[in-house]
Amino acid sequence: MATATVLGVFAHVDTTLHAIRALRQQGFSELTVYTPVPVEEIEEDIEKVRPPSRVCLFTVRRSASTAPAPRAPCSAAC
Amino acid sequence: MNLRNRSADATWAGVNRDVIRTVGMPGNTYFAWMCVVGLTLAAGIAAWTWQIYVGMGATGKRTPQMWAMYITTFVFWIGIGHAGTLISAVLYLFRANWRTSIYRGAEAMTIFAVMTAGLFPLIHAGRVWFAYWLMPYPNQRYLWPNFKSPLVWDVFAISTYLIISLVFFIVGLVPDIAALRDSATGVKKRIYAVLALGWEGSDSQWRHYRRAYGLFAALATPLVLSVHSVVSFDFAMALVPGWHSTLFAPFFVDGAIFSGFAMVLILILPMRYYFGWYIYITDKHLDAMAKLILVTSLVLSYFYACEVFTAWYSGDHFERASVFAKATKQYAWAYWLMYFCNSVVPLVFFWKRARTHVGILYVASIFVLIGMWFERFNIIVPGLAHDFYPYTWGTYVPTLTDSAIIVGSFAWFFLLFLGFIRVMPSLSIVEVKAVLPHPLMHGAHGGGH
Repeated sequence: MATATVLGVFAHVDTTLHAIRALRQQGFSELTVYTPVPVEEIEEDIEKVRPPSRVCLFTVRRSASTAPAPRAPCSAAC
Repeated sequence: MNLRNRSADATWAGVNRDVIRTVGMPGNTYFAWMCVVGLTLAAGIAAWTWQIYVGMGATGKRTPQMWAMYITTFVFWIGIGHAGTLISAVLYLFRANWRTSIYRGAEAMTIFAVMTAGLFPLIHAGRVWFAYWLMPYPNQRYLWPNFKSPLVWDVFAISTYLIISLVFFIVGLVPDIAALRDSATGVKKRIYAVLALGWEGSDSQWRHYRRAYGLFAALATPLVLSVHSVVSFDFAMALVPGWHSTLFAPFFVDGAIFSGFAMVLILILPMRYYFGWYIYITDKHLDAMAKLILVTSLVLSYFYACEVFTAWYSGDHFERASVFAKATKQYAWAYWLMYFCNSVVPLVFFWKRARTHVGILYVASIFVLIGMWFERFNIIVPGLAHDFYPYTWGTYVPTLTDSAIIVGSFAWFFLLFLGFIRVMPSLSIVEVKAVLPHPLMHGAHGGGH
């Protein structure tokens, strides 16, 4: 059975975040977000429903952010 | 222009455009430089060929001067690499955002400097086709390298350094190569597509990428301290007066970072000029690098003072005689030139205007490189010239062969660097974008696209 996939293109970080949250509320869980740079807020939002990255087993540390400073503690375990 | 201005000017789309523009068909100036570099390298290769044909006598190395300029230049190049790792790994872990615009160039400098340095033990050892004897490999006659020799430690230290730096460098390049792939066409697109390792920028790729990048930064950080410490053991383990000192490891590490930052400036300033990257590499970056040069210079001056003080305070006749000979005998000019370049010239950076003045920065950086090359020269050549026993004293006279090989090593380094900046993004697209304000529809900042 083919699975229907919807692709949305957004030009701004805040509208993307808004879309992710709205979709999540409507019950869509299989979300993939493509960004040109790592975006802290998107990562936090996506990671709420994800198992922690297995790379952490090797790195034994939380994510190293390229953003200036984490604005809120990462909700994921890693 | 400060960072605030930069944020106002630079946009995400602008970063892509300004970096991708530098990859491709270069102009006449570039080809002219490539010709100069290529011819110099050819002269170096010819000299090396001559050395292999004639034998080590062609290099001017005579007892007691068996290390001479090759090991001087080897230590010099290893030192150059250290600032790159400091910028890319240590400043990353400390979240120093100003590193983003310069770290790619600095990291490339590290790789190429280590590749240049690695040639010298081979050139120095003479019969280069037996270079594999340096590696401990299982063999029928149970012949092993002498594990008590710092030469073998060097082999491990430097190969570890090269491998970790290279992996760190390539991991950092992957998202940027993907950006190149997306804008390229034809064969180029295919090549970049292979090198981009299927990067698409999905959220799961980013989260793994960032964790892996943090791991490599953590792995590379101790190497900033350890590699040059091991190189310093080449000297500190020997009983030669002036070498046998516990001071050597921090002394070498500090000098390495000092010379490395000078080399970063020498590479970054022309790139900024030719590529028009004034909004990315701002006065703030130059100021920060000049301050680091100043600090490491002051620490180095302290080590110089310690060196002289311990020679005097130890009461050891040979230590005192070694310092006295360095400062007053046939190599006195090199000794005082080193002090002038390393301890006096960088003091200009106490002056705020000098820290952002391109001309002063460039000239001071050249002085620093000359001074740091002579520092290693002063350790090796005058150190060996005045040993314990007057019978073994001797002056070193360079020849055309070894001088041409030294100059050729600079050409080799610049050839690699010039090649790199035309096929790869020499400014990190991702990291520069990441510190810019994100494009928001309802926000205070308009990032644009």
